[in-house]
Amino acid sequence: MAVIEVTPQTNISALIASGDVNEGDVLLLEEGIYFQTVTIRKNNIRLVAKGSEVIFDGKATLFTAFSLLNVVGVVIEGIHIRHYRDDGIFIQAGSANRILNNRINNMVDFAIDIIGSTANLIWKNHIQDCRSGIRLGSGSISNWIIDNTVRECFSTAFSIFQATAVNNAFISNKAIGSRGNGFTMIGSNNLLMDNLSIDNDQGVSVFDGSHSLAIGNRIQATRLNAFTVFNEYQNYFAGENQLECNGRIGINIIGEFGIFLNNESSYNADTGITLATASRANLVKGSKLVCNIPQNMVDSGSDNNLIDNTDRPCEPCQSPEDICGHCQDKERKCGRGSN
Amino acid sequence: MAIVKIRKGSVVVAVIKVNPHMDITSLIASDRVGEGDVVLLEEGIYFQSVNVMKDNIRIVAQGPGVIFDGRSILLSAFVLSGVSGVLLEGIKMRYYRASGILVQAASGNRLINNTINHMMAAGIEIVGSSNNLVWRNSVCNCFEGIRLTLGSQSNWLIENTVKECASHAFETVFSSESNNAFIANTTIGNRGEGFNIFGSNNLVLNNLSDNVLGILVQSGNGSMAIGNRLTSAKLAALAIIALYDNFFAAQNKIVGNHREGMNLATQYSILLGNKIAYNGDTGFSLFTTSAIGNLVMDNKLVCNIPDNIDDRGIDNHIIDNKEKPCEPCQAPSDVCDNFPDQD
Repeated sequence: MAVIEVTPQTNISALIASGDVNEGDVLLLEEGIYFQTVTIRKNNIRLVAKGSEVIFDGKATLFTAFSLLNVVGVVIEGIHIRHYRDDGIFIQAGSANRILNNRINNMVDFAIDIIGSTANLIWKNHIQDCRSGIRLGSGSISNWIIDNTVRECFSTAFSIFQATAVNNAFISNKAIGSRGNGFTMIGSNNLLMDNLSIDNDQGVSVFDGSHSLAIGNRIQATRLNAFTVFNEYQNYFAGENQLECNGRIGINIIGEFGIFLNNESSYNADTGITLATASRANLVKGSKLVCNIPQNMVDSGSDNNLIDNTDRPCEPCQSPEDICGHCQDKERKCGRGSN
Repeated sequence: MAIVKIRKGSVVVAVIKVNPHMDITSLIASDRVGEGDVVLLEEGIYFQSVNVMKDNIRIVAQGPGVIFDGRSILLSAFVLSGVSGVLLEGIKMRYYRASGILVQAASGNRLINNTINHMMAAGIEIVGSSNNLVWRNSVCNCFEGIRLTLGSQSNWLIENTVKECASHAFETVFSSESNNAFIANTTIGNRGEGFNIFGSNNLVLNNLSDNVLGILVQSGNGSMAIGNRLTSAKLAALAIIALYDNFFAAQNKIVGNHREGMNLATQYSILLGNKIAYNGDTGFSLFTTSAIGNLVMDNKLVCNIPDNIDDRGIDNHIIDNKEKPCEPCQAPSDVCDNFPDQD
């Protein structure tokens, strides 16, 4: 096994496919601008940037910068990827690959697109100005999406788009300023934990499945609803999420048998927690609801149990507009801070 | 028993208050309790074992004084068999001969904020089950803390505390336990491993371990340890054995352990950006020829004795690590004897 230094002039796909590169080898990329697409079909290859200026530029001509096809244990680390017509990194039928600390901007499609793949780690990547951020497609199972930042994309920042994508975890990610949702979650037993969604169209939308969870997320300044659990979703769990200063409803529940525990919904420009007519047998307990207009909570569903929720109306000079007008920089009118 | 019924249209919502004198197993099995009902436990000492065999039942403590006491006679406090969507919240359990909570062949259950002491088996045992959430429970003085076995997959174990157990704090027993996540848990003073992890693609993220051994990984591939803090282990802080493939360890802080920081018999693994300092044996020990093709990069190694890195394996790549030997008066024993104070 070897550490192989490559330059922008090296045809990396051909090199990896050749007998010169074996499993476990490190391809150390020298700084410079690479105009190429790389396809990897060999396991345990590590592509590592030697410095901060390893740039893959598709010049809006090439399609996908890196395609990992049916491989295991490949590392892509520390690379700046920009201006490709399709995706930054595409993983298909891959498993346990590690996509670490890359910077991806101006993709015409997804920054990172994972199809039919399992057990991959997507960690500390920074994505900006793509169509969408990170997408898990059909049959993508048990992937770990941790500590990534997606800013100012045209569509959804983080998404699972088919119900066959299950058991994935999104932890400590940031979705900021995208024109779609912060997180669109389709499927079962997907975890959202300690994520931040600011200034997206919607914060979290959940569809089609059962048992998914949201814990400790913070959602602010959405244009529409902050958090929606859609039709007939079964046994959703949401605990200790904070929803503040959103343009519409804080938590909009249309699911069944969900548990909503100790969430805080405040200063939203529509109802704090809404249980819609199709909602059924949900438990909403320990919520803290402050100054949502027109009401803090509305239950139009059936069989829902509401226990130990605290409910505070707006004080004078404390409407969402008063409080949230300067929400992002934490300034507060009336000389008060928010809770 | 008080059943608070609220009629809304044609359906009835039930919050059912129970006290220590009621047979909760029979109540749940009866027609008086339906899916989605809340069983609200009044404060008091309950001497019983509860079997929950109906989906979506929520068993919730009404206050902090809800105590299930098995008096070292009864087996498990709660058994969830073949159910989905059951909630156990805020309950204290003590002195049962088996486990505090046994979950078997079940999915999507929520075990939250319970306190479990003095179980003769595990505080929480999950058998052949998937998609369960175990959140913010406190387990102390049991044989083991939280144990996953016989094909338990894709469970979420988050922000639990396990202290002073006789064996491991967290354990996956066989290689069939995969895709589980252990996040932000605290394990202190247990006599086994903090995390004894068999199986593939298990995630150990942002945990604290101060036990006999920190993390032991075996039999599988693709598991990960990120952002953990491992300290004061009597043996190695993180050990990977039995030719484990493609382990990923990053940004772990491994300081002040009595033996190796990382002891690795693994292949094709990636060890990235870890801080390993003041350990009483080698920082990174790739100690056998079965350590093959690992990438060790961007780690910071300070004053591990006798060496910061010992590579006796084959084709390992050691790149851009920062190594600092011990300064005078800075041996692990000098630094670590006062370690708790420093923190």
